Amino acid sequence: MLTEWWGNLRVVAAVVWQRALTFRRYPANFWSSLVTPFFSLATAVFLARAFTVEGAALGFERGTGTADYHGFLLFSTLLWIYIDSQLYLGFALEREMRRGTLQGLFLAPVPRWCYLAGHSLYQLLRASLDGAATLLLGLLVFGVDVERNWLLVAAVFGLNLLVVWGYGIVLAAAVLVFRSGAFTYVWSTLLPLLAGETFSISVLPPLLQVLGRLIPLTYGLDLLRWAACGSRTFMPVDGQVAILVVSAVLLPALGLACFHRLEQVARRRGTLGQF
Amino acid sequence: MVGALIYYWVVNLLWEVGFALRDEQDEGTLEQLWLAPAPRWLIVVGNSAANTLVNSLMSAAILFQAHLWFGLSARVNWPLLVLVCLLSWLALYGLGFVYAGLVLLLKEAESLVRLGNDLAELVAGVTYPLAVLPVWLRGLGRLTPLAWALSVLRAVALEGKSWSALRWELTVLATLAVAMPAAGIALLNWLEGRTRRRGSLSAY
Repeated sequence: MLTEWWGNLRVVAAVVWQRALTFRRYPANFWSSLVTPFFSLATAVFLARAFTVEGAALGFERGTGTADYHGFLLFSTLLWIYIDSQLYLGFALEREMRRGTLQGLFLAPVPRWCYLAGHSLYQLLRASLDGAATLLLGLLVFGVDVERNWLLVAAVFGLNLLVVWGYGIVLAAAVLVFRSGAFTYVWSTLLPLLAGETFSISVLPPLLQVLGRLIPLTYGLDLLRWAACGSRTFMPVDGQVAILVVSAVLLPALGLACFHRLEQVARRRGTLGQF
Repeated sequence: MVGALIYYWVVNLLWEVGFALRDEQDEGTLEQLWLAPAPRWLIVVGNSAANTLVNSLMSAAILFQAHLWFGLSARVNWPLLVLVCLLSWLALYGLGFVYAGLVLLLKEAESLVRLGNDLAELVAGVTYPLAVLPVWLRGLGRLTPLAWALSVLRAVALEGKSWSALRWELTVLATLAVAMPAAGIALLNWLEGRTRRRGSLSAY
């Protein structure tokens, strides 16, 4: 049992190491990726400033229950960096498909979840670098207050990561069957709108609000802002916590089951090596 | 709305024009493509032609939705708007050529494309007026074709300005529409030359 787990961990580490080596192999890609995260937060903050009057965002305050729009945007952007990193999990598979190496990889006698966890962990590590840069920008340049309940923030953040890992695996499974990341593109465009990436979903039209409430990440994002900035939640906190915890347990399990099922479909169709 | 529309074009230009060659590299078909007796820039344009058509349809759909749901006025000077869109598109196409050249030389340039997208969004004022930026960033924004394209498009679509009121801005945009693709093609050729000298055209 212990040997098996040790072996699985080595598979995860091998995938992370392979991705890291490939990433380092392209210096321009490496260096520009270190600069990029500084921009996403800055763009959101400047947009918010365009709507302020003498530094006060009155409409924002009325809608969210907090005047701390810098903190609101910082923590939303931070979580979104991680969400993006997991949503694009399927592209790692698409790349192997294009290069004709996916079939070879899937012949290896290792559990599929190890392989996926390796890609996921690597992307989490990359996201953490981006997140650190964004956090620094927020704290040092935009003067976001450091007085937060960091333990609570970290707990909500962790639960959100499990939820989004589940989404990532489902989208990766879709890549196996449809041989394209089109679903990821669609979902990564829809999700910021429906879950309220940088705004409270209370500003959405009623129909979109209903759709937004069907997405567990909407609750996770709302809870994170509550934990970090004390913003108003759109339903009682206890209920949101319950939804987030259940989703954090269910979604990864559902994702893995879905991946297993769709991999079987791709194998039966004989399309695993096509792209 | 105008900002989002144009930014959508920029994102697609950088990904589709610049990154079309990356797909060829991955699939091992770039060398054969390069053997074709056709100018390189034409191959790059050809690669993105279908995408340009799709983009045009999507832009029209976005404008229609903006009119339908957000009350964007349809009373604009349409000939002027079409001309400004065309000039903006040409000016921005130059960036696509540069990215195509960078992909040839650097291979994996995904983060570089993201950097270009994000930098353009930040300094050109895609979702806000340039006035909210610090002065030094504002100056940087004025150097990008995207900022000019945005300011002229907003002036036509939102403020209803006429040909004569925009004479100076249209001249700048027309100059960029000629200069940017020319500079982009020159850079593409130069970067291709460097890649060939390195012997890394087929590497990925």
